[in-house]
Amino acid sequence: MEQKLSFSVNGRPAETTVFTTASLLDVLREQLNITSPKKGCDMGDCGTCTVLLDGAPVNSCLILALSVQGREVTTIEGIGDARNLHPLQKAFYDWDAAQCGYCSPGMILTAKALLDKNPNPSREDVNLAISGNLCRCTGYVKIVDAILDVAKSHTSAAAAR
Amino acid sequence: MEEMSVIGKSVHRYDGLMHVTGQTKYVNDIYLPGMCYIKTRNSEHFNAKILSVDTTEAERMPGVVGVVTAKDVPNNRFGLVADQPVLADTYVRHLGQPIVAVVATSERLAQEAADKVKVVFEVMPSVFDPIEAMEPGATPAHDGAGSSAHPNIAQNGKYDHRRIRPGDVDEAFRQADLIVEDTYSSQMREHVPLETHVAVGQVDATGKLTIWTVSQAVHQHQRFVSYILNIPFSKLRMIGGTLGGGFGSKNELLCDHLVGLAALKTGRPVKWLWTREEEFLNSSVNAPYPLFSYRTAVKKDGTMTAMKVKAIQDGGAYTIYSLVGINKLGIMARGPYRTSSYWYDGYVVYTNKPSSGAQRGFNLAEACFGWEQHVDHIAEELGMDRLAFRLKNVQVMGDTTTTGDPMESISIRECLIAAAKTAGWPLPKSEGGDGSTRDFAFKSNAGSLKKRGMGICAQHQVMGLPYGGDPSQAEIQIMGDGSAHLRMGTVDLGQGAKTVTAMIAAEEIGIPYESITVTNADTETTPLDGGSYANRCTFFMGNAVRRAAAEVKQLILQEASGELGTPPEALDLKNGTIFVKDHPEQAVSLADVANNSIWKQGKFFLGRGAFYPNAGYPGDDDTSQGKPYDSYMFAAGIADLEVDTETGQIDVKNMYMAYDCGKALNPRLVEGQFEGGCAAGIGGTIMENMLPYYPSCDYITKSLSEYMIGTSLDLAKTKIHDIIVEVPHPRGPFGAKGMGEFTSNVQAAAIANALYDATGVRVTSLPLTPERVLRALKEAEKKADK
Repeated sequence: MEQKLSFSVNGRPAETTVFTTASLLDVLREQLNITSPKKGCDMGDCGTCTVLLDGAPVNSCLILALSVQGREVTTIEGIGDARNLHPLQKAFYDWDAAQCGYCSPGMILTAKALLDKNPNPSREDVNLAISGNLCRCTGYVKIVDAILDVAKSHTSAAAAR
Repeated sequence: MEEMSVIGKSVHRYDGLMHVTGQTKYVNDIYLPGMCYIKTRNSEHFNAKILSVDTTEAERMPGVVGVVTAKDVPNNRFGLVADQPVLADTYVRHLGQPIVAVVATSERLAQEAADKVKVVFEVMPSVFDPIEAMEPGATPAHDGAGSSAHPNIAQNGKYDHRRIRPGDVDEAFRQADLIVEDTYSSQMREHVPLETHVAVGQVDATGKLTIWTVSQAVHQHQRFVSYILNIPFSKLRMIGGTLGGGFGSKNELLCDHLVGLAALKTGRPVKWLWTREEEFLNSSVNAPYPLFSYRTAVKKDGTMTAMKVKAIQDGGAYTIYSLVGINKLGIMARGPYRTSSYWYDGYVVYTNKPSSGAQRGFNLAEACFGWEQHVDHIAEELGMDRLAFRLKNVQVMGDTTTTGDPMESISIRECLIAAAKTAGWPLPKSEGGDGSTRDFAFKSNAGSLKKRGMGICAQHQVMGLPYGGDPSQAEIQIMGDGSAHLRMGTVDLGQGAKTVTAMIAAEEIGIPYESITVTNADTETTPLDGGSYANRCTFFMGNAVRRAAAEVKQLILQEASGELGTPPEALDLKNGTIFVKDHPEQAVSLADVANNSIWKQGKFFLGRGAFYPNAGYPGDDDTSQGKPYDSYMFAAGIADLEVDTETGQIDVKNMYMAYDCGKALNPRLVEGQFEGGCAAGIGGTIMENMLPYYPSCDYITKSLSEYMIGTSLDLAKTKIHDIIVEVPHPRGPFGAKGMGEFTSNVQAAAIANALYDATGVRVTSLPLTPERVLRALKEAEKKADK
């Protein structure tokens, strides 16, 4: 059974027809050509499908597409691009926190959601926040360092104002 | 030494910006117009004869454009030995094995149709225990090529096992003052790349097949696929090079052949994406060892004189790389130590379990867990300090490997000392220490519930395949504006192959790193590479790239010598400027020289480089002496852990890792390897197990909520101390040896030895999960009470 779905992706309206059982991940990738969220397990264990739903990180493989009717979905393309990198993207690049890159879009979005809620997290806060995003390449060290670095620059920039 | 412009600097990763913006395209991100999807009917049995396959109902299901069975495959059996089927034909030999492929317009429709394929099996007893499987009259777990006289034992050259036998061990045992024997075993582990296996195939009007692949060895797979499908290389283009992790799981050919066949048969573009469950059941695993035994002859002054090793490797259902692994294991199982004689018997036994391939270190994490605990045990028997005992027996220049190979560069001593210094393990007087020794912590922590301990691991590794067979080729073209195009076969799995090869080219030619574009791993447009595995990319492809760079630089200098009126030997090229060495103000830009020569004279600036390892097949299978590997690598690890004796939980507080990479070409990338490898090594030691209830195989992990890989919370407990040791390799590019999978190979042994240091209890079977540690502690308590 199919139904119409309209929602917002990265600030732009998206309208499509979806199966009632379709996941948000499959709709983004296969119907809207947004392939940055990945299908690492399709069951909510790995976090490579992470997107922001109304600003909160979710496993898009576990979200029924129809449930995002009228809501705002953000993928990595929505927070920055090569000409205007989000500070987290720049930090991941400078700290070399992305090796194979497969977990990176989801990881960066989770980090963004954390910093939006808690601009000055401790190392423990960061480790907890990203614990739903698996990475098999980096051991998380540079990922956490990059996130804390962004938090620190924001904090000192805010303090300077 | 001259300051280098880019080598030794932590330049940005070549594809870093693509990764952080989500622009990197992986194979599953390829969507072609009219693309169809494969879903397979898989086996629900471990070991069964296929009596019949009926696809008639499946073929009639909505959306189905074709069905592929074993009968459609021109050459269904392939591999190092031709035992592995593309699709099961006569038997299924492991759970999940694909039998029929259904191609349909969506994954959902393909799955619904695959569920309608009817297979009639004659179920046979499952063969799980390799040691039982070796018995005469055991149920066959395997069929076809590869088996020796016994259906379950793999043929390996002349014998059904690998024999490595330098010297006379019997004499050494007769003369020994002490003989120590130990036995170990290790678990089945899954690589868990975050990207599962996937392939996309498309055939064009001329009949040329293009396959987008996640292979770690694209050109190797082209050879196999060409054979399986019976099509020439000119009609088979395989495009790879960008992976969401590999770790050895994508060395084997499991997807590309079927996708290619489906595309040829249906005429439609076809994609096959594995589910995570299929990844667990169908991709290769590491090499589990049900038996790994050591017997060593020692003199009372602490000299090890002979080591006798027996290994039985669980090969799983099909050969894949287990024969390579058992050979490598034998060569390396003595550890980085010297003995006057050595004896190795290594068996591969087929079972109805996932096939054993190559995983991150290819058997050496497991083997080292054995030999390093054994070495600790010997030191304890002798009453010698564990570091001093190792330093007395480690190889130095002049020593040979177990196959009689004199190594060009040995650095185990340097690594052990560097690790010990950083970790605070006392050094012997001969190494500048105060001569104090570290006694076992368990002797003085009887009352504590949380016990702290430290353990050492001395490790070594190889580069490339044993006995050769893995060439590397590169070409570099200087373009009309002075920028460069590097074309090479190496797959970048995330280790940074594109980055490092571009850096080598930039340094060698004398142009900025940013001016190089890299194209890799495309059988139609790049020269070949043996594959991205076995720590070989930096050394093998790095050398090929350096040679190509040197050649193109010479062509440029020759061209410029005319313009500058100076012979090429008197010229140099740095940062895109060609200048006279003794009069640098006499200069001309590379861009001008390139532009003028190309467009006004038709010149072509192309440098080519190839590298083949100095390695070959052993002279005989009776003792396997010879030179199987070009070069070796060394490292030492020290684990400082705390074990909770009430829960069995091990927390690695500090992991000291001293690695000799020859020359750290890009220090930040090297750090990334330390950190990532450490995570995998710790996880593989204390958390990961595909068969947690082994010997029962009724329960096999099929998801990431059952198979525990380290999260940020697990790994945050460990402080990693990266100790880069640089003992240049005489033939490495800028002295580099490489830095890859090896970093995950010191943790198991160091943790096991640290556990003993803390508790006085040895756990001789991996993994060291809380349950197993607790069981071992309680058993030891019981014994002590008696």
